Amino acid sequence: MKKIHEGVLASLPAVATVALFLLFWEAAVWIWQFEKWLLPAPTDIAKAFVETLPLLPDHVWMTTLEAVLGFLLGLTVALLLAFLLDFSPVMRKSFYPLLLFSQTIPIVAIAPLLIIWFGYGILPKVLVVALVTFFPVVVSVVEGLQASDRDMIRLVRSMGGSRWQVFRLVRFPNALPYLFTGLRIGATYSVLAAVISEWVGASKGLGIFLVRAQNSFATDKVFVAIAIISLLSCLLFLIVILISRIVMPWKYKNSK
Amino acid sequence: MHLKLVDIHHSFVEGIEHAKVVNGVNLSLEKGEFVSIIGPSGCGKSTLFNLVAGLEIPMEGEILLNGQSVNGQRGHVSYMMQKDLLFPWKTVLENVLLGATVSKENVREAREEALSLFPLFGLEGYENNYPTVLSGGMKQRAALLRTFLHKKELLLLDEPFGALDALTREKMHEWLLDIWSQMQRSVLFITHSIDEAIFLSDRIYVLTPRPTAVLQEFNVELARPRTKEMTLSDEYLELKQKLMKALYR
Ligand SMILES: Nc1ncnc2c1ncn2[C@@H]1O[C@H](COP(=O)(O)OP(=O)(O)O)[C@@H](O)[C@H]1O
Ligand SMILES: [Mg+2]
Repeated sequence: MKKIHEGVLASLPAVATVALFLLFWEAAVWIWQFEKWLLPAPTDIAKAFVETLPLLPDHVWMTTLEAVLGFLLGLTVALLLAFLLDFSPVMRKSFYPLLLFSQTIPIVAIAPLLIIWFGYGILPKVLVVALVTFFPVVVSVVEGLQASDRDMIRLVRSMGGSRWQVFRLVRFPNALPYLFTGLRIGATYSVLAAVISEWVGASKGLGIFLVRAQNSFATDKVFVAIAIISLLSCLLFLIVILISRIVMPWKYKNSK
Repeated sequence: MHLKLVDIHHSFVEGIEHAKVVNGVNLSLEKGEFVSIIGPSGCGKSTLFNLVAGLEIPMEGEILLNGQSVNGQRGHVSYMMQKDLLFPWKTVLENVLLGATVSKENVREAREEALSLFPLFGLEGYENNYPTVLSGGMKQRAALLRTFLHKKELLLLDEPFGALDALTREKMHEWLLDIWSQMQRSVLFITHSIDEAIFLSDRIYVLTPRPTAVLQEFNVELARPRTKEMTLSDEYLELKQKLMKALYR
């Protein structure tokens, strides 16, 4: 209870800043009489939110589904490939530089291609999100596995430990913080990747909601979409942080 | 248990050159013996231990355990390396149980024994802490406990008390001798302290600078159990003088 209390206290200044900003925004719209299609006031946006509320769950659900499925798929494939690359030096030498290089490719630019190949359903969106998650995760996990302390490995070897035991006792735990660094990047971009791939073509999802709102100059609805997308991204990010705290207690606590 | 190193040679490849580190070392250790190795820093003492533990394969020579060659074989010694090497992701208790985990022994039994030894090692109350909260000395004691709980007849201890203050160090000496006399485990012990070597050992090997070989071997004739008063005896001081001469000649 005390911890929660402290948390609330610590976040007070940030909350106050946001409230102040919204108040200023509202006042500015009133004073300068901005056109509603140019800059709606926060109260207008709130009204639009209430109006569109019946429509929203379908869109939010679709985007969330794409983001989460893609994230999990990207994570799974990345882990498998990272273990494979770690296991085989030949594979590592031939693939790892390519992986590093391919990080510079803007994955969302591949979305149109995937739509051509896989149609307008959920699959191409999931694939885009998977790709966005996959690259940072595979690169950081390989790095983490390789960066293990040489002497810790030798200690386990000296005890007669097998290659698998070395992996389980030293290299994998050593790679966990790296994994979560990659996952944080993936979580940040996965909702965005889902939304952008919906722009290219979809019937449901926050991306298509956003495009429709923009086409009809319903700027207040554009803001509603932006707010929900930000919220979803934030939520996914927080979930990743929460899991990292459970999986790596030694990073956050002094004792188990 | 009987360990014999016969004419061991070893080099590290640095680029195209071979940097010779071990140059024909011969030494032996009998069951229940406590033998120290002392030599200038960088001469190759830790390398010698890595060879015995099977982490390096000697380029020439034989490492014989009970008469059988164990060149390049692992898992037959309890090895405490120069660094404490506690795993940050394991609690202190989980760390000291590493040996039992690796050799898939009865972990529950090992756990009970470990817990009973925590007070003796001055680690009581830290069982479920992560090693980051331990002081330097406590980390070394935890590493020693981990080595000790990895139950092999032969213990290799590489400067285990290097980071301890003088008082704790003396306490650990007495404790180590106590355990050693009860358990009948053979100890090969690297140190850079002449006093530590004399107080603990049956025999002492003095090594030459790199590439290293045995310069001289000394018997320590002091009776057991050893007491602090012995460090003032003529025998002790005479041996200390001889060792200093050999080391700083
Ligand atoms: N894996 C290695 N590769 C190359 N050189 C090494 C390696 N391990 C040790 N050496 C070198 O061997 C020499 C002896 O090292 P070491 O056995 O650690 O000395 P000591 O323990 O006596 O201080 C040092 O000069 C060191 O640089
Ligand atoms: Mg050394």
